[in-house]
Amino acid sequence: MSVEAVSASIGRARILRDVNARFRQGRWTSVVGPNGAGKSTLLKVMACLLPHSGRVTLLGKPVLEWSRRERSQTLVWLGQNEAAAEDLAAYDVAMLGRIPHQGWLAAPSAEDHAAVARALCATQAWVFRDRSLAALSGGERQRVLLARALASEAQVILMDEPLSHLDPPHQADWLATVRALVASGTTVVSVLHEISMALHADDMVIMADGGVVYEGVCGDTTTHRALEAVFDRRITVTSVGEHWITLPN
Amino acid sequence: MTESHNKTSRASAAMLALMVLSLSFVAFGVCIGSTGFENLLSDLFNAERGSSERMMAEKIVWNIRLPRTVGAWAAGALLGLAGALAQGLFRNPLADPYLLGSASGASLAVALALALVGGAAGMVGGGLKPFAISITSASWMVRLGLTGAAFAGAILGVLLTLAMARGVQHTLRLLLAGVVVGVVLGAATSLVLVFSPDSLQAMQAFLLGSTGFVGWAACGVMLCVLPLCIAAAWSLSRALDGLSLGEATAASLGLPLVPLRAALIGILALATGTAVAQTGLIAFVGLAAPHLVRSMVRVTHGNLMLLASLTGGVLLSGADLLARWLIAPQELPVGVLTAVLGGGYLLWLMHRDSNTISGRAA
Repeated sequence: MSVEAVSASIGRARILRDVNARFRQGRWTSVVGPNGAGKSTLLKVMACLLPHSGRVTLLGKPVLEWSRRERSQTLVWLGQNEAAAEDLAAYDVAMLGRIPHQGWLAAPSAEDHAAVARALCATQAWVFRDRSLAALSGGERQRVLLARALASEAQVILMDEPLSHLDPPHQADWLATVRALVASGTTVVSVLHEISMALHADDMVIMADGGVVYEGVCGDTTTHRALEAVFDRRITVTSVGEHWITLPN
Repeated sequence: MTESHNKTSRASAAMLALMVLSLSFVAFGVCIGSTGFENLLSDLFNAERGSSERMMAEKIVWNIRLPRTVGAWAAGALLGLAGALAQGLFRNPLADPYLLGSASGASLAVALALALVGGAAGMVGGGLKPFAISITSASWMVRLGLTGAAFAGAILGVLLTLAMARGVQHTLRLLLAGVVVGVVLGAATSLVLVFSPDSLQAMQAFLLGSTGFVGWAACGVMLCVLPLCIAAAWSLSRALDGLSLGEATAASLGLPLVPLRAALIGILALATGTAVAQTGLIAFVGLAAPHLVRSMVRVTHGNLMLLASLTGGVLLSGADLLARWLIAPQELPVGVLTAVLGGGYLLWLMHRDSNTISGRAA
């Protein structure tokens, strides 16, 4: 997936300016940058949720040339602070991820139920599948919404702040889920504020002031220096065993 | 047995209970009135065939009480369905079917109709009295004129809201436009009534809501529109479930938001306009019915709309029974009862929720 010369505005404010970036297939790319850099807007543009100029390509084809149904079967977007359907049970919410695969009036198929069960198990949400979202904690709710995204079994998954409300053990579970998805050939793009978690990705896109300032591999020291620079050198990237973490200066 | 099976059976049990209640209220509705329960039954079953008592009893049952009771149920069902639709569409549990300007549009149209004909009759010293219309008139032409005006007004109110919101793209803009249209058309209605004081009494009946003059024609209209609206709304229920995750997520799921909103608003306007045209403005049924369902069972929008429709029917036919029985042989305006009972219910709900929230905070 790639974006070329993409600009986008919200109201009168221009959020993205001539953004170019490439998200390699079958890899996990994390998008990072200071607040207001345009990370969430970029993800929305990639999901065709905001009008934009420039060109967004999905699996080699301009995203606007995909039919709505095909696009939603291929690409799934998990938003930040997604509204919660309080009345629905966790299972029903995860089943909404199957809408792109279902006929307008058709009942969910056995395949739909199997996909939902897999997604709920992957996010450890199966045990509370029958509870309504209103009765779940923030972290449990986030896991159900992640299951909704996974249930679509799309080839490209865009996630905006998927770790919000998740405690460290469930952040580790999320990491394992993303690794498994990537291993099965899925392309994952995530906007993350937890830079140490973002450094677990394969690739990194660093944004500032509505543009991409750097693209590179997460393990590369040049990426680390670019990361430190974009946060005004108020963080340092350092290694702990095989992993990279950030520390405040 | 899993909890999802329990949930399904709870929904089925609620549906069955509401159907039984609906039938019971319709049966009671036939029996309760100023003539009294026993007198009517004894006339109907014991009086000689062709006798004046029996003919009168048959007339009361078939021409007055049955259509009134069935009509009250159908109007309530339409409002309950519209309430569930409005709350799903606006993702706001306080949304009610009148939010898009249908009530204010219908009120203005009825005020204008009353002022143009009824008011004119008053102004010329009663010379046109035989043709003067009022909300309580039994004349077919007149009733058709008033219900037609109310329906047209309701639809025009919704169209005005849509025009002000510049389409259905933005839910918040729709909501604000609905509020503005409600205020402006309400002011216009007041202005019409200031210049046509003769219409005030008839208008009051419309504003308070009444099931007292619902005949078989009105019943027929409502009973035709109700299944149409239910079928159309049910076919969009999965999309409404998707919409409950937010508009951006719904769009990312491939749901066509603009046609979807247009269809939902069309159904909402048709259901509300039809009910308002036949019974006037009946408060709180559309707001309270979906809440009552949610307090009984947590369901997806498909079942919510079916249950809210049945609950609306039960609420309004129940309120109609009370309105006839409380100060018999006099009658209370049913809209006053639904406002008092519905308002009380919402206050109780707020009280209960604030207690729950304080409990959680502690």
